[in-house]
Amino acid sequence: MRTEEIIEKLIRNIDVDTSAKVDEVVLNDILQVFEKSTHVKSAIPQPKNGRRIMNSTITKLAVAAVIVLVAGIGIALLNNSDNTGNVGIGESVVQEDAAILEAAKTKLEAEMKIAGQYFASGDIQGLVDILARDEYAYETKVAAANFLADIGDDSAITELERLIAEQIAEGGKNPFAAAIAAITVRIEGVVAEGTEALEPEALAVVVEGEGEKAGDELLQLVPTKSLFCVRVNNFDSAAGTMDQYLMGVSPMPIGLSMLARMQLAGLVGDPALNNINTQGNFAIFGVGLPAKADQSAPVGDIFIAALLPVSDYAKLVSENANFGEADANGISVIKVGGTVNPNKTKLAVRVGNYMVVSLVGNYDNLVSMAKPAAGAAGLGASLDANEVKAATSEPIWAYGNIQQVSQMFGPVLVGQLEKMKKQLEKMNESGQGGPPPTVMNMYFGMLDVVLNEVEFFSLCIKPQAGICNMTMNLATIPETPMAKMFGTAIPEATENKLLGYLEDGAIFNIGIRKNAAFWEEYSLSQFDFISFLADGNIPDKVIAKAEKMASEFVAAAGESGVISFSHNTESPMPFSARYVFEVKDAQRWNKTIDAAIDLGNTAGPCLAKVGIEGDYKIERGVDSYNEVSIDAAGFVMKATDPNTDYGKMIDQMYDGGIDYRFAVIDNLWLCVLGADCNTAIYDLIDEVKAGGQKEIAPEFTEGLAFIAEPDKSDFVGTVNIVRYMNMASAMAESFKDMPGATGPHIMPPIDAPSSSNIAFAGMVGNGKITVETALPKEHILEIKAAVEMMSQKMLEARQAAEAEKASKVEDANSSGEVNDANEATESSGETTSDPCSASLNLN
Amino acid sequence: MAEDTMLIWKFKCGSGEALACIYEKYKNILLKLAVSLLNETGTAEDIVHDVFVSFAQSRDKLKLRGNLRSYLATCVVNRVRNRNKAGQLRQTCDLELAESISSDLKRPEQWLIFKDGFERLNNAMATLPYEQRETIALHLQGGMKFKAIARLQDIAINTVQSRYRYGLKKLQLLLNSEVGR
Repeated sequence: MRTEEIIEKLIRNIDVDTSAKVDEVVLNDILQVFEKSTHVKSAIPQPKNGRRIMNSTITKLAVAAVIVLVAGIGIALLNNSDNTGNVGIGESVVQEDAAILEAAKTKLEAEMKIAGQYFASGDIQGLVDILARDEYAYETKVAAANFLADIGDDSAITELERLIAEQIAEGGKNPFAAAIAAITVRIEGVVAEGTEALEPEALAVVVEGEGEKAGDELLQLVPTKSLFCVRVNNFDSAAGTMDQYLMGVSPMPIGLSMLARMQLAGLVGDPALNNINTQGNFAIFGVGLPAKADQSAPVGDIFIAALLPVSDYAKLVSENANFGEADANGISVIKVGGTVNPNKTKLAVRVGNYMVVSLVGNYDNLVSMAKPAAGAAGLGASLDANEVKAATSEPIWAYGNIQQVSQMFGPVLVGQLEKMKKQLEKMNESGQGGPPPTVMNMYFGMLDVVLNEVEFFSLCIKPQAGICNMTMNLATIPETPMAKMFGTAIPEATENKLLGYLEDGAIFNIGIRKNAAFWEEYSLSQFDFISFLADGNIPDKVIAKAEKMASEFVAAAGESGVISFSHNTESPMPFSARYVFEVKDAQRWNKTIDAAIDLGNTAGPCLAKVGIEGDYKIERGVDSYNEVSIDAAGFVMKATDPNTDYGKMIDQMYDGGIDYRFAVIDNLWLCVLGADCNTAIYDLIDEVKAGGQKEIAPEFTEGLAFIAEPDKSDFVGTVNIVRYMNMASAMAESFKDMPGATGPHIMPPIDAPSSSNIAFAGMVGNGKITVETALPKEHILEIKAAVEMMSQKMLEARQAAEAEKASKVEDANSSGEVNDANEATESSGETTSDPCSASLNLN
Repeated sequence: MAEDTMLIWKFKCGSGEALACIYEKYKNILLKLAVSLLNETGTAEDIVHDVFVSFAQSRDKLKLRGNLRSYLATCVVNRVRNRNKAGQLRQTCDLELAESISSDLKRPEQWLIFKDGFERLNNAMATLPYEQRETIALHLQGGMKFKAIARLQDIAINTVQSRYRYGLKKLQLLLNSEVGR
């Protein structure tokens, strides 16, 4: 062991003891202070009288916001509680009376309710009081700050600033600063009063609205073979919460709900939307029609229609002056929108509790819908129970039937790709450059997989005041390779114990749990794409080797792994990464790495096709730290032609290559890459030797608090777009002086702050993959601020460049004058060594 | 993660037992850290005591998540820094006035009991420039990552790493004989 390591160990491990007697005294002292501070706090504060009532109709959505907020916090709290009771030293605390937790939860809920009431009644002072009074919990203060941010009144700023100054927990995001930023944005003109037209009744529906779950009528009405369907459950509620989410984010001065209502009003010819149940469920769908027999168009038309819930269709027709009388088939003409283009005239027909609206050209289709064939079950019948549940309960549900798309557009898409490939071939032949045509093979491959192996996809969107959750499902066709890849769920939930190794401040963090079938199939699919890219030039022997390698990796891997990818501001290589993976068989794992490196070197011709010379090297046992042997690997990456602009860019970006360091301790494989990887691997070894990180990076836990079931997911992670922008702009900056660069203004370097992350989690099973994403509003605001920062810098750079240009012109002009003057001086026969007199002469 | 989060949560809910657990779990670490930073046992004890007292009063301000160990270590460092600043000012004050900074706690005996080698190590640490000492103590005793230390000290992570390595090298020279044993 090195001396340095011995000293580290000495400092880390040297222990002290304390006198039990003094311990008791000190602890009593602390507990007394604690008791005192606890008793000072009063019970739940009561709402104050004499509130100011805000006139903005944002308040009409208040209850929605409160419910959403309480639910969000509830999820966060649940995700943070540890029901296992396995808390080590705190075990006695866990076993302590559950009443304390329950009481705290009740208190918090009561406080949240008060905050919500203040918000609902527009009581700004009440909300400010919550910020000011100590008895309110931190979480309630955050909720109040969020409400104030949504209202946008500057009277809250002083109190918010005080809280920023007082906030004591280090590192994490500061909701009070975010609230100030949001208030400032709203005051300075982005006033999205899109909720003006919302009815107060919308509030009640948020509580009661359960959708139509049993035998859902709307899903029965949407044709089975629809290409797509977008459904909005409880329109008022969904649009209202989307408005709240977009408030301060959207550049539009009008809310989404207002825009949507305007569209609906245009559709039915009634701005008041009388007899339309705006608290009901709406849908729009499209069905592909067969191509015309004369083959005048490569694909058939799409019948698009909207389904609107009506409270009384007969009344709607009789009271709406824009509705024509129903014909024998029950179809009415809506007399708006068709005056300029008769083809845009709309027709409507009643089907059950809904009105179907479409364009005049779809008369026959509407008749068919009004008189459905016996036994027609609609889209709902082709979906599984989970999908039906999502369609009927999530605020927004979008669906795309890939097989219908494949049938209708497949040949056209393939034709387009063929066309693009031929264009690339021509460009390459004529020496115009561009990517190699074989790139198109990869797209062919991807398209082929999607069109032949995916059955449908769906996307659920659940906006809330501060966060928007999106869940994407992709269902595969049975028996296909993709179905095999997504076929097996992890048998039982195994905890990923490595999440503690993820880093705060990263661009990308991911924790993976091993799903052998998935990873093996996934690796094989990647080799297929590489094979496409190489235009089938990879020998079978190499493909077989790659497949074996993938199997070996999966077999040697343990149950979990984590990867952190960060922006490194300190080195020319702008990124660094760390990997920690459990390995079952370290020897087999290392052997597979050797094989992978051998295999990587066979990919040389592929890289050469994109102008890169690559060479992998590995050296075992180059270093040792804390009695752990360290291996080094390098991916030497150089441009095949360093004199071209592209070559210079590659050389500058990779700075000769990427360095890796590996080590294995206690069946953990550690790997770091990037500049200064020696220090990084030492730190990682230290962490592992110290028993690993007991706590997960706060940013990571905060992000995942908004994911429904992170513990059951195959993979969970966070992405930070702002930090990615910072890294990308730093990279762009290093290229700006290169020949061929288009100037310094393309992407100026920024260092935009960010403390929130987009979280994601995914799981596979039963031939499906589900990926949930939580997009915090705070992160959108941070991205917006980063873009503004970038725009500002671009403007400044442009102005500086213009000023410099102007100054050069001026210099050139003035130097011309000097010469002229000198000439004049000389010609006049006067000589002077005094520059002042020269300048005087000039003047 | 779960342990500390649960402790903080319980503590925020008003559980004295959770506070006692936090105290039990971190008192030795904080005492070690404070002594390493100050090399004055009495003052270090006072600082740790004051940190816990202040912590006991701050339940409403605490975030549920966050690294408790780093947080407490940061509190100790901040108090040490304040004390050092006050010490610099106090050079012109009466000695008695300076003493009043310490805690009001009346303890019957010394709180901290040194084990073998601690004093020698501490004396060596005391010879390091404060910045190096703080970096080493926070990393090795406070369990803070270099990134977190860089944030606390408001300097680049490279500087933190340099301070750390330089400090260790000096300690290596000073403790050479002991290390060789």
